[in-house]
Amino acid sequence: MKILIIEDDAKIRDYIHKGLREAGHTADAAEDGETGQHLALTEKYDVLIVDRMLPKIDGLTLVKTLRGSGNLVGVLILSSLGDVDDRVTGLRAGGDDYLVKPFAFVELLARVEALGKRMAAPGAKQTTHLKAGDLEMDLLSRKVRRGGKVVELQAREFRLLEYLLKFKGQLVTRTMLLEGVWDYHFDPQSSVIDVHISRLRKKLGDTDSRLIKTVRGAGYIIEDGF
Amino acid sequence: MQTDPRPRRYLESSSFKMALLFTILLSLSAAILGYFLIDLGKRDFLRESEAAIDIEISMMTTLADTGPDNLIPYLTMRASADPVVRFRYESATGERLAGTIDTLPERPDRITEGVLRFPLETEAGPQDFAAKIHTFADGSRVIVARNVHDLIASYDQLRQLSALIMILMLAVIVVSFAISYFVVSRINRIAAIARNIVETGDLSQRLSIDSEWDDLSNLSQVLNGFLERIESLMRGIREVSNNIAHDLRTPLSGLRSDIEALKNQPVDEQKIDALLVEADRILGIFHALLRITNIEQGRRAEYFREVNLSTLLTDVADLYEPLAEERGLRLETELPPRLRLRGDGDLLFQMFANLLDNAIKFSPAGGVIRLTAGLEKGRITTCIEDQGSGIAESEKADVFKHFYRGDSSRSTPGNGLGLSLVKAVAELHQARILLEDAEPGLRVRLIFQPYQ
Repeated sequence: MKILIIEDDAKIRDYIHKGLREAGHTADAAEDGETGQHLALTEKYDVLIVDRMLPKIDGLTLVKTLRGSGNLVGVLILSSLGDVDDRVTGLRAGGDDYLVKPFAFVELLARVEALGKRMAAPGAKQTTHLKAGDLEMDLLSRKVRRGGKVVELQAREFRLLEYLLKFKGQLVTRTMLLEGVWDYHFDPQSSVIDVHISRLRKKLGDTDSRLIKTVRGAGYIIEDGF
Repeated sequence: MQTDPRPRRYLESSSFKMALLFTILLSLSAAILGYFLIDLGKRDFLRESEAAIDIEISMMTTLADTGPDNLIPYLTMRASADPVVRFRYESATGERLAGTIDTLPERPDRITEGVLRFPLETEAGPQDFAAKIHTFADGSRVIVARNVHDLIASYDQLRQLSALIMILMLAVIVVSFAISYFVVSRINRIAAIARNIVETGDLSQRLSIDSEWDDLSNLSQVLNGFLERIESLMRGIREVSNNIAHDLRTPLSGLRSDIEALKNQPVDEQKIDALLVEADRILGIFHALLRITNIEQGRRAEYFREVNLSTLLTDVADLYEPLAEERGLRLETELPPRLRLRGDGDLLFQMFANLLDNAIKFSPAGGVIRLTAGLEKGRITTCIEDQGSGIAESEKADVFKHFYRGDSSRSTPGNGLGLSLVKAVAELHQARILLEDAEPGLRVRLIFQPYQ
């Protein structure tokens, strides 16, 4: 994936830049809004990582300008700790996802990759069938089969599995699951998601966690072949 | 911003300038009034009477030319026809020939040149008359007098009225200066205290209030309330920052010693993870604090939408039910299909998640947690009930404070901010929180405002 980082803090910028390259992505970096906007308008990127507070042109204005010119690139907005509750304005300005600093790099990477995938496969060609190994999921009849055998799932478990399968081969963090499956943005105090996952594993007969793998300190992943 | 260090002197104040302007305007009005009285009044008010007398005299002159015999019957006729006019016709020797005026006073007042003024007896007592004397060619004289009593009375009344108005104007001027002086000295006192607070930073000072009736005392009262609020907020901030310092010192020193222990050691993935968990915990505290502050500022009210609280509570219960089950607890819900509320869905979710999280944390194994909601007198009321040890009466006021951890919760994980957030969210939604005894256990009752 080709990613543009627009961030004025050199430390964070280099840290993201390095991390993304190590994860196998091509990344460009800009240190202010003007350079960033110029790059975003002239080059073709899969995902932009935009800091809210930028010199010259601030992040939200930049995103609004891009959207105004019909640019539909995936945008992840970064904001500092102080503006935790400004996510609504961030998303309203045209951001696709929102992450508060400081963040774990795995969280950023997981979100950027999910965003890139979402942008690459727009809503037009909606898949109705998801598959990983011997696990099959029919989104129309809402049936789940493992090795041909039907597995009965509750509505929420179904959505959880659907989310994990949609981003098959990619890390999905706990907060991504909370936001994607429950539609609420909040901080759980206990490891509620883990309990849901272990329940799902039990129903799928995934006793040794080979189907849904736990990535320590980060989240979960369903590998393509597992 | 540059501020004047001295209190404003009275003569420099806007109040004084206003009073001055007021005085100038009033003096101008007084001058105009005075001009009317002095210039127009005195000379003109008898002009009509003098003209009437002149007509009378010219008539008589014409008659006298035709012969003196015609004059006397005319005079008698006029005198009886018009009580306002009186005559005296006398011969050159001063003998009265006709008319009702007996004698002339020795020294009559002169109103103007040629017009006399003297009192004459009438039915209503002596009244002032204006008179003119005309001497005919034969030396005989006629005195024509008109009653001007009413005119003079009106003129005097007008003068008294004007004097009264001027006195009132003077009073207004004096009062306006007094008021402006009062206002300026009051404001200077308020300003002096405010300046003192700015200079010393001592928020415990209050403005003195010595009366109740005036607007400035009212303002002082409002300002005192304002100071009170600032002081309590400042106290709160100081308390919170003390708590932060205290609460973060422990994990930070822990983190520090753990990092120190890694010196000269091979890099171990697991140890790094443990350090990251510690760092994240500290960041989590900051995050939670900032979030609470953000909510307390109330800016989020602009994001209020219509929320179906039933759906939201079902979702929260749905999220926490597996966790409860894992701890051997039963989560029971009793929710009507639809409860409309204006609010912030994410925050309400966070609030109920925190409350359920607490209920799960403090319930003994095998316990039941009940989540119910319904309408009571038009208000949405929700209850979360557990069978834990509850909250002692003495602790109830403290549990919502930042970083407060009850004795029973010291051993459980948490940062002591969960209920602070609950309180902030409830206050943002103008909901009341009641901590009730569920015998055994705690019942958290939330009463929301009626939907508008």
